[in-house]
Amino acid sequence: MKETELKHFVDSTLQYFQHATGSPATLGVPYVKKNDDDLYCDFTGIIGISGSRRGAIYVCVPLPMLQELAKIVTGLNEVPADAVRDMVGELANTIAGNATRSFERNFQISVPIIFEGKPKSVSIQLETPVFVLPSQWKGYQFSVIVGISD
Amino acid sequence: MTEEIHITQRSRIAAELDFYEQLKAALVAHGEWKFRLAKGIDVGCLGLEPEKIRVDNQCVFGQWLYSDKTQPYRNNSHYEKVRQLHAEFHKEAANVVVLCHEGHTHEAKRALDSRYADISKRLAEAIDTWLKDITKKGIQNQQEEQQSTSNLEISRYARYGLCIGILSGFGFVFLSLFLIFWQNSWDVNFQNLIQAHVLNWAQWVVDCAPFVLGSVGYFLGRYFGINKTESIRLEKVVKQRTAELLANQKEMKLIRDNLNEGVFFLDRERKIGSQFSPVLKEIFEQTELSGFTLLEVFRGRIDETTAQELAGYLDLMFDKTHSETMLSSLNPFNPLVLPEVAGLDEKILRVLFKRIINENGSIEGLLGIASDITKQVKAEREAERQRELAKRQMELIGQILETGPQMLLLFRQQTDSALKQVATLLEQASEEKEMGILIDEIYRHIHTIKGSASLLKLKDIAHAAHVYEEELTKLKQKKDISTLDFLPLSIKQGNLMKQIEEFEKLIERIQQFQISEKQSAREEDLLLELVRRAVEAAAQETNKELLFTASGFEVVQIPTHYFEPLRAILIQFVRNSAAHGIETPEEREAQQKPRQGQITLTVDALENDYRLVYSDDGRGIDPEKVKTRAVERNLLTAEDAQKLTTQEIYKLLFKPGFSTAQETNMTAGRGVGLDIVLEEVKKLGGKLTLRSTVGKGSEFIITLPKAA
Repeated sequence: MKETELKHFVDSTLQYFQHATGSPATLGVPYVKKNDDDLYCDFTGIIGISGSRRGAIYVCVPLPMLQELAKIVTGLNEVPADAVRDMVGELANTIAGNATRSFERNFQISVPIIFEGKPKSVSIQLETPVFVLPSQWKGYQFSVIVGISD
Repeated sequence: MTEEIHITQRSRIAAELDFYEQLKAALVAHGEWKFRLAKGIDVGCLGLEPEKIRVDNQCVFGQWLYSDKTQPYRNNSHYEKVRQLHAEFHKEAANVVVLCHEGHTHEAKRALDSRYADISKRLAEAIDTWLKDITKKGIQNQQEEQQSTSNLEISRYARYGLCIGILSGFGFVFLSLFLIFWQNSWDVNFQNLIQAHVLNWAQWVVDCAPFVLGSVGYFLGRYFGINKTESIRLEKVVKQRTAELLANQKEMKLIRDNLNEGVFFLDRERKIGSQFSPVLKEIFEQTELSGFTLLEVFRGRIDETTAQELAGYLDLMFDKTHSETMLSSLNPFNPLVLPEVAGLDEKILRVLFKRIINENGSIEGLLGIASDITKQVKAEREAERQRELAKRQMELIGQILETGPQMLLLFRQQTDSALKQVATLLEQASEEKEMGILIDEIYRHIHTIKGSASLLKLKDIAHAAHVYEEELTKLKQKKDISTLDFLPLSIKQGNLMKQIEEFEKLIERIQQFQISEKQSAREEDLLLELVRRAVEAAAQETNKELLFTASGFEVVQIPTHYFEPLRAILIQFVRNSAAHGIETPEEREAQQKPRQGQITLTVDALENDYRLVYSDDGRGIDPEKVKTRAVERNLLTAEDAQKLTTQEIYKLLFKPGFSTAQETNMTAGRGVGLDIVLEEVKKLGGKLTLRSTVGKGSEFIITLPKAA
């Protein structure tokens, strides 16, 4: 993973929140971990990458943030639980799609997979090194996790 | 008319072409006959029939010569000469064969070298002359054809001119007569009129008008005809040239459109010309190229320095004082790397240039040939990367093997712990926290990894840790650190983790290799399986029921190098047991034994040896039968046999050429078996002991040294 590529994920995340919600998100201090390190969040949206690049992008979001985001995006006061759940997939899809647009094009990205709780049994593996981009939006902590091979 | 002439001439040319081919073939075929005859004389001209050879219309050329195809040439002097000589040639050839058949080999050879050779030569010369004549005529015919076309045109226009002239002359005469008649008709009689006309010399001049005008018309027509012919000829030439030009243009377009390389012209202003191969657009990733400079084409893909370098190179290419060959080695377009930009992947191009010199000797422009070599370069890069990786891995394996397992374990624990702590520090970091302190803490952990890696000579890990340290130092020196500044740090950390992961993967692979090595030690299972299969096969072969059991192999590990000889020995034992030892199920039942014959194999480890005991519960070895067989086989005398002890009798079984089986079959040996077994055991430095009790069974004990 190149620095410019990682930067695309940061930009893509920040732009999404700015444009979709009007409220900016901020980046925390990024860090690196191994692919087998534990990961936990309420909801995870996963996008798998295959082809010349392999790996995955996880977007890890707490439920209250997802509910808030769903309300803003849909304009509804009460968003059905299913729609809230789908929101995390949509979020992962948008961030991954925009960020990988600048990558060499001989790879494919999967449809989003939504996971509730610990995504331990998910077959789409993050490739080491796994870059964690901790971020904040409206006081909520969430993470974009990128583990893609070179 | 003209078209008819063309057709006639074309068919004549075609006919002559056929003629030409036939004559050529005849020249070769008749030349070969000498060789056939000379060869035939040596073997009495077997297979050569003089009567058939004598006739001159049976060979291919003869058939053609007398066919309708040659009808138009029958009056030709060449034809008659060739026909006569061809007939004589056949006669002489037949005479040679006759002499040969009559046994006059010498005369036959002489005839072949004299009369036959002479006629053959004359025939060849006649054919050759005819051939030359045809070739010459062919050229003349073409010229004549062109000439006759022109003459026809000219004479046609001359005839038109003559007719028009004469007609106009007569018209003139009639007109003048009419005018005279009209003027004088009311006061002069017709006779006077004629008289006046005849006496009027001027009137005679008028009467000559048809001839004068006819001649003038003829010459004018001829002149016009010549001009017309010339103009037709010129028109034809123009049409022909235009067609050639169009064909050339079409060919050029086809070539240009199908080129895999982008070919273009660069004028003195460094602009791309209007003609270029379509693939150039794809190579340069631009839709508009004509009229643009190369720097404009690559704008946004190359930096300022590269742009200047490229422009400088093109200037040099347009400067005739510099050698083109020398410049080609400095070409910055070979390769030209267009770095990845938003929406466009990295692209590597090769653009070669060639000066185009005009008639004044100055440089008119440059011919550019561009190709996309991205795939090729990337494949080379990947191959180089793989080579480098393999080299590094080999070095790493060397380091891993040199380092003791305890040290490796310690290192792995240290790095794992250090990296986790770094991750925790960064995870818990916030912008409020003093970044300098955070960086120092991270630095300490990374430094530990670097130190340990250096100690174990793990160069790549130590280098990656060093690079990470440098990035930390850079970050610390920054005044206002934002979270984005941690991105390059993350990348360096990622590289370090990748190096460590690679190292761990290698260790895992080495461990797996060791495990598989240990697993291969369980080859005794394979050995026992092979013996079991041999037992089954022997049981089937001999119609006996056999049961094989083995013990001790779970505990005792025999060195693997014993397996192969043991396999051969044990299979031989099984064959012996099935053929000689174990009785038929019926016999066994009669002897109160279980129907199934028991074969057992046990192994145990003694202090210095391994001991394998192979036994069966068959009929045992009868010393008397062995003695009898040994005497029968002349291995010893009956007298000597009587003196032998039981152990000595058993030893006879291990002598080469001994076999007690009544019949040899697939299972029982042909006198080879136990002698080979003994030899094998001896080769292994072991011992073989045989114990047997008649009616109870036999036991072979193999002792093999532990330290082989």
